Amino acid sequence: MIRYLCRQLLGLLPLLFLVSAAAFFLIRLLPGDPATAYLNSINAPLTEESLKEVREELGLDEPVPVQYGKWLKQVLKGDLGYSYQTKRPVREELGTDLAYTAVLALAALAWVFVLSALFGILSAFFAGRLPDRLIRGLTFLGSAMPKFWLGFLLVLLFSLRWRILPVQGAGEFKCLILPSFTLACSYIATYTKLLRNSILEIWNKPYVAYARVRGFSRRQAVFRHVIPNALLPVFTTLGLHFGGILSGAVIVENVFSWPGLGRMCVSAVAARNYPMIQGYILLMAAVFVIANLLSDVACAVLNPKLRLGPGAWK
Amino acid sequence: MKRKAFSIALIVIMLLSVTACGGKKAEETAAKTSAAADTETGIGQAEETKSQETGPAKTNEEAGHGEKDTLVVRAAKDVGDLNPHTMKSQMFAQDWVYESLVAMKNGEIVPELAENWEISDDGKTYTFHLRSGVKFSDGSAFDSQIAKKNIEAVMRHADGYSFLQSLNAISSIETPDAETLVLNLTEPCNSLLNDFTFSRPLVMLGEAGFPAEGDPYDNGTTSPVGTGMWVLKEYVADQYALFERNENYWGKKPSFQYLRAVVIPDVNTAATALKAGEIDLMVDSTQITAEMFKEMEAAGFHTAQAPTTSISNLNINTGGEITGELNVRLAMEYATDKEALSEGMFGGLQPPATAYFSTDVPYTDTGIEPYTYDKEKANRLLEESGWVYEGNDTVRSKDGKKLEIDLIYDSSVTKDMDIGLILQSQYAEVGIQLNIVPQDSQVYRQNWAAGEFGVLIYSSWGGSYEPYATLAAMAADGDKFHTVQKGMSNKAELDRVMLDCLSQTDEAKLQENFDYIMKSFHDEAVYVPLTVTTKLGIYRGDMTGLDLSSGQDSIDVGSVTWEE
Repeated sequence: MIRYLCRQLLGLLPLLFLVSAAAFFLIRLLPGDPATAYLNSINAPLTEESLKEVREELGLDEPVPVQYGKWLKQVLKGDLGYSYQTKRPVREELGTDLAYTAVLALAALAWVFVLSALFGILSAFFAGRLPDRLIRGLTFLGSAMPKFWLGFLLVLLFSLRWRILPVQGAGEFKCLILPSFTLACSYIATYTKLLRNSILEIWNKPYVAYARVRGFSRRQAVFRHVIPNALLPVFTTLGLHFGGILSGAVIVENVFSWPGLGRMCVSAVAARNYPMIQGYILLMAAVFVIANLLSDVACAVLNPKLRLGPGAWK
Repeated sequence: MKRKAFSIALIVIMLLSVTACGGKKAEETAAKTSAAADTETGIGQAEETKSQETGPAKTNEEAGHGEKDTLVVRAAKDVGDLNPHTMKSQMFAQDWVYESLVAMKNGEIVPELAENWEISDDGKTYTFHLRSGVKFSDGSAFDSQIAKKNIEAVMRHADGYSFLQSLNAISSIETPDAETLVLNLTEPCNSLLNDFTFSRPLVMLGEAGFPAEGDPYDNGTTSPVGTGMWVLKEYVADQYALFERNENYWGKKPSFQYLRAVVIPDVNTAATALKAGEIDLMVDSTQITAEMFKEMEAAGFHTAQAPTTSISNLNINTGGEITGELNVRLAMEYATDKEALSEGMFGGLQPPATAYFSTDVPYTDTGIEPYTYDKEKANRLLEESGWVYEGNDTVRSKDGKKLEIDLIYDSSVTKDMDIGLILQSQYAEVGIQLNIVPQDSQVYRQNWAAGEFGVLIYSSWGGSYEPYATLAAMAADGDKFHTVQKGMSNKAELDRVMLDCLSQTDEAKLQENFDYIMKSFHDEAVYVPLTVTTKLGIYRGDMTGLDLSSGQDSIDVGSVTWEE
């Protein structure tokens, strides 16, 4: 298992390196100049001299590959540089916002787990009957509804009509309920469908039938064979989706005034705040690959075939 | 039966376990996060007072209408670090905490920390008589010494404030006594009083706010100590800032003990939060739509409105390939139906404008008759200069070239797209095709400065910038304001006159200059003034007294009270 983990971790390094390079060079292709944006933001005059000064100050006067080398060296030391706008370390700026977005994403994940397990299993057990049809209808609605609209609808019901949950804010637990559910909704729909189909598929597998023939009770068959195997695809896709949940929270953060990464990232792009954008992309890439790794590990725990490498099971 | 019982049990177990884990985890992280945010984002002393002060504020807030003594206001953005000498905080919040020598109300200069002032005949000496007995929020006295210290700290970084003409003109500051401040200038500077009406940087920070070394401009403030109505008490970046009434305030103190500015970027969320009772008041001049304003009014909320001195203008590129032609520009002036625009888009809340500058800006209301909507005249002008319809075309052309003009706008200003669409349909009626091109803020400014556009929508700066800071920008080669006028036949002379306005001390000559400038803008059809930006406020139906006349960027909540 440890060897498996090491192998996976080593594979991440070149990936992160590639992402860092792509992030660095691609954002410099954006039209608009950070020095001009900076001077505009502080209402300073745009003269050749002032531009030259700011470029020097921000380290933009050197060739891009040299800038990249310097940045990479800093990053390897754990320093992501300073925000052009606030002059605070990028790590600090990202850290605060990341914590909020992570709370939001984890809460959304909790919703996904609870509700898709509930609906998925119900749906599979009552396949073809009324509860199944009802749930399938709901999942269709859930995946089709735009997030901002769903957000406003929920606010209308829970905050304006029933007055039980706040419209906005971030300090308290009750502030988390509506935004996290809004964020989770489309994923709940996806995973309900996934789990339902997966359970049904496995229930009809010969090995489940053999298990029953060998004298396993229905309950044993479900717990030992159906559920663990049905969860495999869920974990794999969840790993892929977690990064998506984290980075896709922009709209939800805006609708519910949640002080997260999305808002920060949008303003950083608008101001061509390179260090912040680079830091954000690198962070997101790391979250994506780590989430994938975790899902791989979860799968390996559930299915020994995967952790032993190809051919080993024979 | 057995199967059913089993499935229900299974579901209940899963549900319970996952809710327990998920809920707990989220809660724990939430607690950790807010703790982290508190320590990382607190500023100066405000942070230290935090834990002990949150309690009473909250209980008061929950105490119900009658006793509630916290006014909760929406802030579209984080209020910032409240450094009075930098441009990074929100102006309305800086206004709450800091004051300057003078202020601006409806375009006019009124006393603030200076009770009155004299200007020498040659315009080179300004003598301010300071209000006596004024104290900073920490109890220290406001006098000519601390005023001098602030002005000098700002002057050391004059490069950072290009819009302040006076910083380069002030040669020395004298403090004959504690209540007299004399500014000596190397040359007359007409914008000096305006410069002191900005929310930053020429405002007064208390001695305790200055860093041990260097200036607040580069080393920050140790504590946001001002003479204003409010004192910062607690701050959580991107979430809220809590202010307490400044008991040392020299003027009429606000009726609320606390003021809480909650960050809500989305205007619809803000309106919903107002309906849900989470906030009490919102003020805005760009995001609140006419529908929202009227709907909230109908729902029993109180509203307030006041015109600002910012005008939404269509800037026509006088150096452009097609728009360089005077008749095309004139045709656009005549083809613009401002009444329809004001009514159709703003429900009349933003009245039609008459000139680039608001009529409240001194010297600029020169009595020139604005162009009126006249499609026939527009058509005739275009025909005269050879722009004709070929075949069944709906767009005019000349020498095989179509009368197509690119309208660029800053895509972050959504109302400008709607304005663009209305203009597009109005100009189509006279055979001009307007192509609407949304651009990212940076790209928009870049193209504007480079002259790569046909027409663009922009709201004039308004407030303390008018008229002098605007004139200086228009006369500065390389500035985007200068680019728009580059193709004017009298640009060189215009620049000279605009620069002369900045230091002209002869009133008659100054008015003559403004007459010339306003006539040039009109005759050369550089700007199509569209609407007057109006500041809109919506607040609780059981509150009263919101006064929005104090300038476009301020949220003046001092006069708000519970309705009797």
